[in-house]
Amino acid sequence: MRKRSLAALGMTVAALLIAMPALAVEPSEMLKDPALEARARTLSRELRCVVCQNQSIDDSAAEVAHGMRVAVRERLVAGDSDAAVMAYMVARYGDYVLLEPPFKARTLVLWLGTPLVLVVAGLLLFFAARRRPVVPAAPPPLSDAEKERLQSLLKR
Amino acid sequence: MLEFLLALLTTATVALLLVPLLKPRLTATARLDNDLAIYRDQLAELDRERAAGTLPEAEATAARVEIERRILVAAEQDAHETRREQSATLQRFLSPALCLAIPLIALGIYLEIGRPGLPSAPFVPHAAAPAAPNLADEIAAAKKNAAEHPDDPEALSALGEALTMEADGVVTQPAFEAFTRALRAQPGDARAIYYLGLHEAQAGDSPAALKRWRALEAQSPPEAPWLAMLRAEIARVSRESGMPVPSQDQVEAMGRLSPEERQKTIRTMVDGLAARMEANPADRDGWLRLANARKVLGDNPRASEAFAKADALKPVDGQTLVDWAEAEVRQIPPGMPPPASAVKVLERLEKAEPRNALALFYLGAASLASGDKKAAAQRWKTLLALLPADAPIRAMIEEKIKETE
Amino acid sequence: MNSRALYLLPLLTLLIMAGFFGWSLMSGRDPASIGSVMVNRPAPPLNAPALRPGEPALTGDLLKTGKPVLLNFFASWCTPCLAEHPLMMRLREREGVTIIGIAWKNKPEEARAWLKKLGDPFAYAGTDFDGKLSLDWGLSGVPETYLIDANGVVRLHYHSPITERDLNETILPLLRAGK
Repeated sequence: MRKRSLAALGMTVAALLIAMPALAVEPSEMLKDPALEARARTLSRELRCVVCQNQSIDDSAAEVAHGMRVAVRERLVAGDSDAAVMAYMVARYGDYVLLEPPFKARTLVLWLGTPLVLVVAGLLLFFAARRRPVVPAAPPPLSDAEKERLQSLLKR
Repeated sequence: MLEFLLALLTTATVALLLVPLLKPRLTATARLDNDLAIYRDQLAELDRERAAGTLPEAEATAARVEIERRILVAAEQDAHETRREQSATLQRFLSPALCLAIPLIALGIYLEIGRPGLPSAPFVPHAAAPAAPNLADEIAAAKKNAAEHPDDPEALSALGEALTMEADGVVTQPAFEAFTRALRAQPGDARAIYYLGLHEAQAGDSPAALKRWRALEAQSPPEAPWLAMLRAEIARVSRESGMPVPSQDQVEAMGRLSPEERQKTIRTMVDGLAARMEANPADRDGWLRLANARKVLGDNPRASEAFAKADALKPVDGQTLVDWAEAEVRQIPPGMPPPASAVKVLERLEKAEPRNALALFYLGAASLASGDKKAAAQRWKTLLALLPADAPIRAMIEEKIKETE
Repeated sequence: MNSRALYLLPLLTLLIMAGFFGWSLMSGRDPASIGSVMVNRPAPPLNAPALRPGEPALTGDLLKTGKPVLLNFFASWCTPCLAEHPLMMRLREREGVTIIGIAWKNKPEEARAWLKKLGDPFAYAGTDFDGKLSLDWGLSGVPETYLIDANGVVRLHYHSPITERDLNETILPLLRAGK
């Protein structure tokens, strides 16, 4: 019985290992305090790796991402709030470092562009649908000659 | 055995290709029967929906007429296609033609490139292959050779080349020094000139690199093995630095000319530029181009004139000032002090670069000529301190300093 | 609105987008360029152990000498740094520029061997093995080069190897103006 439960445990662990995505975070970087580590992970997912376009530092194996992850954890251990950590990064790398751009005059088009297009397109569709006649006009009926040919075809 | 296998493979290939061709095609009339069955189903469905009351009467009638019209159109198309298919005889000939053509073409290619008698390659252990020369060994050998023969330009250039290869093609500072020494030991050494130009290009001074390389190109015999690479490098650096580059046609036309003809062609081109400058005298870059061209051709008086024109538009500095000063001093007859016009340029150069050897040397001569022995001695002593211990010119300058005492 | 004009809307949208993409391609704008927040700010701290043994550690005082300086982050494992190296040598040898070099995430002995092989353009050289110093400078990789003016304010930040054009059109004029 004991043997079987051990085997089951082993299989579960193996399945978990297979199911887990490859992580860039190295074990040596992780904090001992699970609460702090969880905060660090959350922040890392919102920070862009500045050399890899669209990857968070949590996902990236780049050298600079490693340095930034370590810095995030150091700030947290030093007692910084989440907002202070983000501000620390923005002061060094600019808004570019934020995966979610801030809501500013410069980013207005970015934030409001898509909903605006959706609303305009929806309105246009609505009015177009209202103008269209609901019942299509009845097509002209078949002539006698056509009816005759049809009958002979359908009988084949 | 092999022949049998080949025949088998050919047959299999042909068979694979023929299967789709020989498959009986769906004739047009069979397709019409299929279509009719579908339309009949659709009509029945329509009747069912009308009976169940899920479809309004008006829509049902419209849909029925629509389906009926489609049936009529399908029947018309069928009559049309049946007529056409009977005349399609290509189908009948295509299959046998392919059956013949594929093996024949394959046989033709095989007879052309096939080598049935080729023995299989024997297994050779790695140790038996000649060892590739090791770059580190080569560098060590080149260093040793250069240390043993410090004045041999061949050894110095080989050392520079090895150091450059070690740095993936970057002419490093030690390599630069080796080439400089090689060139001093043998002025005109093509390899050293080429690499020194490459060093200048890599250090962000493309104009200097191009000047050096163009001079090398002009002095190289037409059959020199390095000319092709040199021209490619000139074109690359010109392109990357945005300098004007002669077109390939012009370059090739120049390559075919004898040295005298080439000089003449260049002179014609430069005279053309001069004529354009007369018409457009406010183009400072144009004046500088003209001045450099005249200087390369050895026409120093007119080069100086062009430099002065550019200078009047906006004062020149840096390398341009050095070039101008060179053009001025080359006009001085041997043993004579520099004239006032040259002194003016040299004094500006000395002010910009207090340790410029050219300025120190000639201004010293000018001071002596005007009777200022102290200033002359001071300039030449400064110059002496700048020169390497083994510079051949030292003796002459020491001689001159004695004259001032 | 005329309904026929309405049908032209998708085409118009397509044209606008094509125009935008065409402009992005032709204008030479680099959508991946990061930009720098360092420019026109006082220089961040520069505290680093010396790379060459026996020299004093680097401090922020080096940036406030009343002369503009270049700060270059490099590594011996970085190929673009190799391509950039002759330009650094020229800046030191021919233009007399003070260059501070920092070996980034590079073993000091490897960085020293690299400089010995190629030539050493650095008036002061430090090491940033763990990348902590470079984070304060907003560094994203190597090579990167900063120009700090006579008052200790960052004036230029290059995210890539400097080129002949950068040198002749931006760096040298700024350095000459700063003297």
